[in-house]
Amino acid sequence: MHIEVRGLNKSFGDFNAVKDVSFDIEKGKLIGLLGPSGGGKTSILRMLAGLETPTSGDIVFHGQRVNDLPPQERGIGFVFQNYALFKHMTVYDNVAFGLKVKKLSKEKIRERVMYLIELTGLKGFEHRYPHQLSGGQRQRVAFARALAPEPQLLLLDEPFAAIDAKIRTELRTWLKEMIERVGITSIFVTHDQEEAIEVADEIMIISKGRLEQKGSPWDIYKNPETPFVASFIGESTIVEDISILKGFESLSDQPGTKALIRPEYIEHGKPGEIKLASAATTATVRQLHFRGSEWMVELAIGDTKLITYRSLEREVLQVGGQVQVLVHRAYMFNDDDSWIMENPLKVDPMPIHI
Amino acid sequence: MRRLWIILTYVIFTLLLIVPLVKIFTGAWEEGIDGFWDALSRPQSIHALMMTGIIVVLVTIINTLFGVMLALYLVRAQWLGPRLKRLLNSIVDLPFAVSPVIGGLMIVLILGPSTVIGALFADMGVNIVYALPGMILATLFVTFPIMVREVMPVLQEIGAQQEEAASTLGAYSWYTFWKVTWPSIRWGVIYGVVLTVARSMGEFGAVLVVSGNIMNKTQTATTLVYQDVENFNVVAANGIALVLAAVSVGLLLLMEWSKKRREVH
Ligand SMILES: Nc1ncnc2c1ncn2[C@@H]1O[C@H](COP(=O)(O)OP(=O)(O)OP(=O)(O)O)[C@@H](O)[C@H]1O
Ligand SMILES: [Mg+2]
Repeated sequence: MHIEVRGLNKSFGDFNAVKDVSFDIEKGKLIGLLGPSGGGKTSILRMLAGLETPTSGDIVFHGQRVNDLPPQERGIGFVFQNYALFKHMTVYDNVAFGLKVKKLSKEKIRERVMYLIELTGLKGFEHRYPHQLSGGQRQRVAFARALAPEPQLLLLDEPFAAIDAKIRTELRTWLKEMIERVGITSIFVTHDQEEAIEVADEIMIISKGRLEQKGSPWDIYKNPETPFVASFIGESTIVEDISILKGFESLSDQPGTKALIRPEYIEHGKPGEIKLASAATTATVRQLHFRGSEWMVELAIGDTKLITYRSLEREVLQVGGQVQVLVHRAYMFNDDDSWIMENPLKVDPMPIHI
Repeated sequence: MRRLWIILTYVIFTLLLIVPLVKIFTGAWEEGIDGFWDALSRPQSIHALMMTGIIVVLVTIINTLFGVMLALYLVRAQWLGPRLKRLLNSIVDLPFAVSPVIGGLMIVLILGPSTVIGALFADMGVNIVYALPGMILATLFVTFPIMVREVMPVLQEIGAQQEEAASTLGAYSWYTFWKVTWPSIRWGVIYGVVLTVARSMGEFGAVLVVSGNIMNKTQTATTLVYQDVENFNVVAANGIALVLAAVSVGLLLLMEWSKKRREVH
């Protein structure tokens, strides 16, 4: 189902939980709604489902405005954060609920329920009650129940929040596959960026009620449009005065401009290890943290702190030792503007012409 | 020290509950089965027990319907503003705070034969005060908070999510209520019914004020006991009290059972 949202607002009393949110979602896409807690993700989802009335704005499904349609008529499936399974019904009856409402024949219901139970790997559990299931199994039941009436749009509110980290990765791969197989437009909420990046076709970043950016995970990572997005996605350090770094000296005449630097944009090495020595700055190793598969290195240039990673293959650094640092690019921002700046010294001083 | 307290508790318990019960029992049988039977088969006894029965049945039905409905509205309805909800919520408790006698008096003051509304109803041939409708109203007033207070916490505890899930699955409110909400609040409602039956059966003050205690007309079991005691007809008083006590014991057992079920679900 094609979804269009225009100028959506929601206030609770005098608190604006959602502010002027607009977006389009193409049919069949899997969208991740990502943002810090309290940002308004659940509120947006609930308005799409019709469980909450927007203060203003339009919600359009398939070119038809659905603001005044009750949830029963919207053709959406909703998976709640804590699943909200009918606790006095068996797994079978939970999944069958939406079909019984439609007054389908017993055989049709049975066929569809058994298909979904098999699809979600719940075979053998049909006669259990929700309290006799594990968290992961409950999640599958909630998923099967939402899919049963063949909705056009599936909304999932933090579907993995209540599941421990290990099964979580497994389940989200499963969910992505499942959604692809069914081919249903889906939106899921998460505040785990790794989850959003891994699962979603497109990510929408929501913060303080606003839609900060919408795009593919790679796009958002590469070209963050706002400082919030830049700092929220991926790891980064904020540098107050970037002009101390070679290549960025020109920014000293722009006070108030800060730089956001990702660890992977920082090249470091012992003197001589960096080919473009002319673009490198000297830094002191402040601290080393072992991170299982690599070292996290805390560097200091004057008062400025930088964070980067070092492979275990390379020679181990000493705390207090000196290294050369080359910053390839930085995300710059001040009060009225933000841009990405490549290190101008990186242009090879002796380009090879063939 | 602790044992002393336990013994003391038992002694007080026995004195307050068991001794009167035994007294009632022996008192009712003082003149043998015939005396007990005679006391019960007096026309005023039969009438009073019947009145109590009618009041209990009607009050319980009305109270259950409206109590569950009000609880649903107070917990779930979004169109009721939070302030109105708070106001209604405190009004629900009013009958618990006000003495039943005052409650009865309020009904007499509002609907009595000398008031405008009372006269209006009298013109239509319906007497409210000093008649069955007033007695039902008085008992309703006294027992109204019971059901609301039993059901509201259960509704709050189960939350709205299961109902919301049902609505996204296409179910409208009536279907959702019976298939999703009712199974969760069922035992709370049953417990509330038992409490309402017990309370409306035993109600004395409010009914006494409203009914005028007219024999064979507006007398209930409790007001008859009161009258028999006044007339030193102890055997008859004990007989009727025994019937009431027996029902109460039955209700108590039912209450225990439903309370247990309520905790399980
Ligand atoms: N019914 C309500 N009444 C008043 N305020 C509300 C209500 N529902 C949500 N809010 C407020 O709206 C804001 C957004 O809430 P929402 O639940 O949409 O956040 P969220 O992004 O889903 O957060 P989380 O990741 O913690 O679930 C919060 O500040 C919350 O306090
Ligand atoms: Mg939320």
